[in-house]
Amino acid sequence: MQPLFQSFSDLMGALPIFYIALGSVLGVTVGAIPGLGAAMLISLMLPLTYYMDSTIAIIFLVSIYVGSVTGGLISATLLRMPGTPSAIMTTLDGYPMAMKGQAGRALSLGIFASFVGGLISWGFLALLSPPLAKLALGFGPYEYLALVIMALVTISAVSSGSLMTGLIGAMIGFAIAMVGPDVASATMRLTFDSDALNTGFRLLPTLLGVFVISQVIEDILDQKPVAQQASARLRDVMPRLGDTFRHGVNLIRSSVIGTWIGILPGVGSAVAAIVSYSVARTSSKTPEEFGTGSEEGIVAAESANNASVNGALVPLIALGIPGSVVDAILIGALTIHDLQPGPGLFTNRPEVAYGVITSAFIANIFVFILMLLGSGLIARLCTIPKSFLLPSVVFFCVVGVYSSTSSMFDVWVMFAFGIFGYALRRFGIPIGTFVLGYILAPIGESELRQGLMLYDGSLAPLFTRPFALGFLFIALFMAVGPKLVSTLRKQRATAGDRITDN
Amino acid sequence: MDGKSIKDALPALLGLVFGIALIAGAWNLPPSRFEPMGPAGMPRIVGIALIVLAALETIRVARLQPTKPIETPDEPLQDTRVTARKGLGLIVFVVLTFGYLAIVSLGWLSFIPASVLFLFSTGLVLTKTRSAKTLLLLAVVALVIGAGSSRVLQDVLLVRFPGA
Repeated sequence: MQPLFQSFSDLMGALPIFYIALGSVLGVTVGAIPGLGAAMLISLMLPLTYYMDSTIAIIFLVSIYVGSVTGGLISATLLRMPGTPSAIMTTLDGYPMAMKGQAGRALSLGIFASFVGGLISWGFLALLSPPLAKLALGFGPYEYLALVIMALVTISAVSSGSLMTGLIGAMIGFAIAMVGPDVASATMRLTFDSDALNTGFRLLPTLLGVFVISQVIEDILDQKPVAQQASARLRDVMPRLGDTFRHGVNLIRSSVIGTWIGILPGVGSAVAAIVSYSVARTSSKTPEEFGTGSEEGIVAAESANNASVNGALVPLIALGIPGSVVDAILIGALTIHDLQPGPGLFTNRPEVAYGVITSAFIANIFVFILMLLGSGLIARLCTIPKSFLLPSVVFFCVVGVYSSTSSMFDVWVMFAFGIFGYALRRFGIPIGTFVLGYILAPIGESELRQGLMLYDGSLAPLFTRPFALGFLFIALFMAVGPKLVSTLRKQRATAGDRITDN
Repeated sequence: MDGKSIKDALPALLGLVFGIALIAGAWNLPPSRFEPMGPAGMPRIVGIALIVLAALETIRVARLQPTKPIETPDEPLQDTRVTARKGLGLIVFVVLTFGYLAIVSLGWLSFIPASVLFLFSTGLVLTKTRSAKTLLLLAVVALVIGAGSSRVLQDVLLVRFPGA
């Protein structure tokens, strides 16, 4: 506990608080604007963090992450447009409530649920991360390789499209990451005799291209008209004490579900919201109200999606394995700042590891206050025309890449990846799996090669070491489990029909 | 079950192309001297994995029910016009972006004026209403973002932009 208190004390200075507050404001605002999101903003902010101290940079990015998931609630409720994918389930009940004249009440419930979800999951983050990191210090290369396989299979299994398209995306990400010098011998690989590719595809142009430029192209083609906008009064947005008791069980259950789904590598906050929403509907006394303006629906979705953020930070700081796509970008940010993601972070740079935990807590409080006071104003920002927004986003991408690499070639690479990312979206290949593959490729390859050297070229320990085998089992379950369950259900239903017929 | 279309075959095709490219790219890499795998090992593994995944995806798509041609009423003329306008907007946007980068890369115009022009012209392409007020607003945004932020980066963070 001592390092955690020390971290709180360190972050109480003016500069850290300023960056946490700035990150929270930016996160909430961008999270509220449909089409922009945490992945986009964090990618866009990465070049700016070059000029910051590494701890400040990471806490700034974590604050953006925390804010963006909550911000999606505003546009989901007032505009029927989920600002982030994690707010999809909130739209189902938030907008109908707003149209009934209860926008303030819907926002109040969502803000309160987000806050409680964030607090409960933060407890898990603070309690689980240090011991998990301690345990992971005993992991060998094959345990890490198995973790990488588990992360890739899990995100491919839960992403849109089939498992195969997800895995194809992840493997293409692997392929792109292998261009340039080999991790062990520095032999040039896959450069096809082009000197420009001797450094490989750098992280920043690749991320900005795949996430931001491809999203800009998507937004130009898909400018939706804004739905009828509801408004909310500050008085109505204030949470009531009675809600804590009325929705207490739902709040705790959804927060715990969100946290655990967040901890699973690769599974994002959208899945957390969907699962907890389904569980809340199943256990509700009034399931028919879900989708028409149910308070329980908003509470379940919002507490779970916020809880998943802190949940996803657990494997990030304890194991160096991303819990979501945004975490994959945060791993990239750690690497850019010469920090080694993983359990060593707690021993080598405790101020960064505990800074992540502490900033998530402080940002949660900032976001709560900001949402209470500024929801109405932020909702107005959502209506800024894309004709003003999109060119500026492209310009900041150019500035970001050029200022960090001083190379126009990298700017061109960014645009090439933008078009490639858009093509992946069109082909039905989830770009989340591509980015995870790209980020995890160096870890996966170096662990495999270290393992082969350590065990005289044998892969057997991958299947005999208990943790490695456990991770592989989880990966196998994620790959075949859903199909197996649906086949069993179908068989059971067919058997039931036969009994009824007889 | 979902119906199949040509679009469903594209992920497998892309996987196959990348798989073959990886194996071809790893063909001439030197063998390892100090460790079991060497630099060519991982590209080969990933290349083979991509080809296997592409084959599995092809089988999955082949087993899907073919999509029945659905008789839909003709698309309203207005919708077709909107789609065409957005498509044209995207093409012009991409051309302007590439033009901007080319101008900056070749040093035909220095970074700040090129950026202001880019922001104004792309905003103009994307905007729906072209009133005097919108044009003025676009010009102000282009100046503030293009010139203002570039100058801040140049003077405060000492970033040297091309042509500056």
